[in-house]
Amino acid sequence: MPKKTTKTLRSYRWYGPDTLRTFSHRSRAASMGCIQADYAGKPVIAIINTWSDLNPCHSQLRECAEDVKRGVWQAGGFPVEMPAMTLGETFQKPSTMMYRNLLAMETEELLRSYPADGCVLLGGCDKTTPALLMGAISMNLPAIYVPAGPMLRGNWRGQTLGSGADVMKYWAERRAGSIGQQAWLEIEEGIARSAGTCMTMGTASTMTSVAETLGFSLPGASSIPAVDSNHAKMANRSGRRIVEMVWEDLKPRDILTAASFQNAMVAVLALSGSTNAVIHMIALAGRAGIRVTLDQFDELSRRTPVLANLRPSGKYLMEDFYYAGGLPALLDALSPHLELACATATGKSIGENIAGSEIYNSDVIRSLDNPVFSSGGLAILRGNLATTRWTRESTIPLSMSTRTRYWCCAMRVPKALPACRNGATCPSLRNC
Amino acid sequence: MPEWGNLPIPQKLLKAGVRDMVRISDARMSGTNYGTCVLHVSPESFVGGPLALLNEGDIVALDVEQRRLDMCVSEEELSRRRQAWRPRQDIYPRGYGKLFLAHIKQAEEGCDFDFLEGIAAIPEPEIH
Repeated sequence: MPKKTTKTLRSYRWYGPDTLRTFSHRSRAASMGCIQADYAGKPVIAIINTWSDLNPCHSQLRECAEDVKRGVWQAGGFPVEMPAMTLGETFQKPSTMMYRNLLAMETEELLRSYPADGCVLLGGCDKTTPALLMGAISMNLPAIYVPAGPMLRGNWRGQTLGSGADVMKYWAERRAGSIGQQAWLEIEEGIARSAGTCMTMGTASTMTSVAETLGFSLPGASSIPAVDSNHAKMANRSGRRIVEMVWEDLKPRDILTAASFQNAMVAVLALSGSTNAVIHMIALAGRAGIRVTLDQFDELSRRTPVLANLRPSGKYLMEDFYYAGGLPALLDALSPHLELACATATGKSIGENIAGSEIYNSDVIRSLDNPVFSSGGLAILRGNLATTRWTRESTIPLSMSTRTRYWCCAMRVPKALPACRNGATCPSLRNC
Repeated sequence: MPEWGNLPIPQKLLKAGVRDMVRISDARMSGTNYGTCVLHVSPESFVGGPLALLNEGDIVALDVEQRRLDMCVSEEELSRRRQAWRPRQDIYPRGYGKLFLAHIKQAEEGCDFDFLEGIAAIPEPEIH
């Protein structure tokens, strides 16, 4: 049963009543070619798009927005695309981290200040995922996350290249003098072969997996390569689903619970995901009034096996992960560690979403009895100032003030130190 | 919090075949990177966190099993360094950077702005 009626839609206040102001809204909609039948009584779906010419991870998002719109129209909604600042990891300085909260604010205020009944969030590059979600959680309108999707595998002289890790690896080799300028240029042109986010289990895929596990994306969405036609179909389906979610009034804070955050933490650990997830998940939870602690991460890390054999801590890339069954297959294998009753954007529980998912390559996605590592790759460290009451002397107007503080940090623990062909030890690139 | 956690390995170590080393940083690094990295040390050195007090030549003990990270420096010496530490000021005299510095929380708290946390209701905009 729909919980919303046409007159209780948020957008009704902009379009519905017979007033001077709503006349302006309708007349200006008309100036863009819209007739009343396009939007009257329909959920207005804001497609928040972080496309930019300076964000290669999102270079396909203009086409992706069209796929979402098609789904929204088909389901009886009125799609409106709204550009938001992009956080392009490679180009933005001094750090995209400085601007995560600005995009979060922009997302929240775009949704608040315009006639949006629900939203589809288009992001994927590292900080865009937490930023868009933080804004949407704070605004608490029905929301679906459409992740940009990872790039195809990199390729250099027949060798598979992975984002980030191989840059550091071959940069070290170049500085050591073992590869030359020509090889370096070939690597430069071979490591990023398509639109999409880094295709290792870096922050982008870690955070899109978090979004999916929290229940913000359709099942499997985070694993689909950006340029696979299944990605366009996922975007289309997301557009259809968000319209239903508006009528059902299914909002982020109806979905998010302490248990869903714990599920996402377990997923990060089983993926051997990025340490940056710790920071972003604490922030996301803070927007929902839920407390996520460093101790939870550490405790879960000790008992969560790594099942995804993905770089930088394993062997394969996101394209392989998708073909092996993707995140639903991994979560299904991990199900004894999950709270399966958690709600999701589909309207079903996460347990229902992943039921029956199969693993198609048991080396890429391992089972609980054959994990990559028996425990997680994150450790929370505390140190010699942990019990010191330390009064900050500075006058910088930061939010932290005099209080007991712990010296805390997250660490990605290298698990394997196999010998490389060149005889050097290498913590992660086991196939190098 | 730039991506300085994955500090490059010095060239003379690379030439000697070393391909990993322990890095400790209050910054982050790309999640695509690898190696033995202790990240997000909090509170950060910018606000006078413990890394700001660490000097070249100090011994640091890292014990992952026990989840400990300690600098082997006496409390008296740390106290002396704390007294001598001076904050950097006026990096951003105006603009977003100024807002950022005024409200950013530390890594262990999620790095959100303090005024953005929580679920307090905000009124819908008036239509006029």
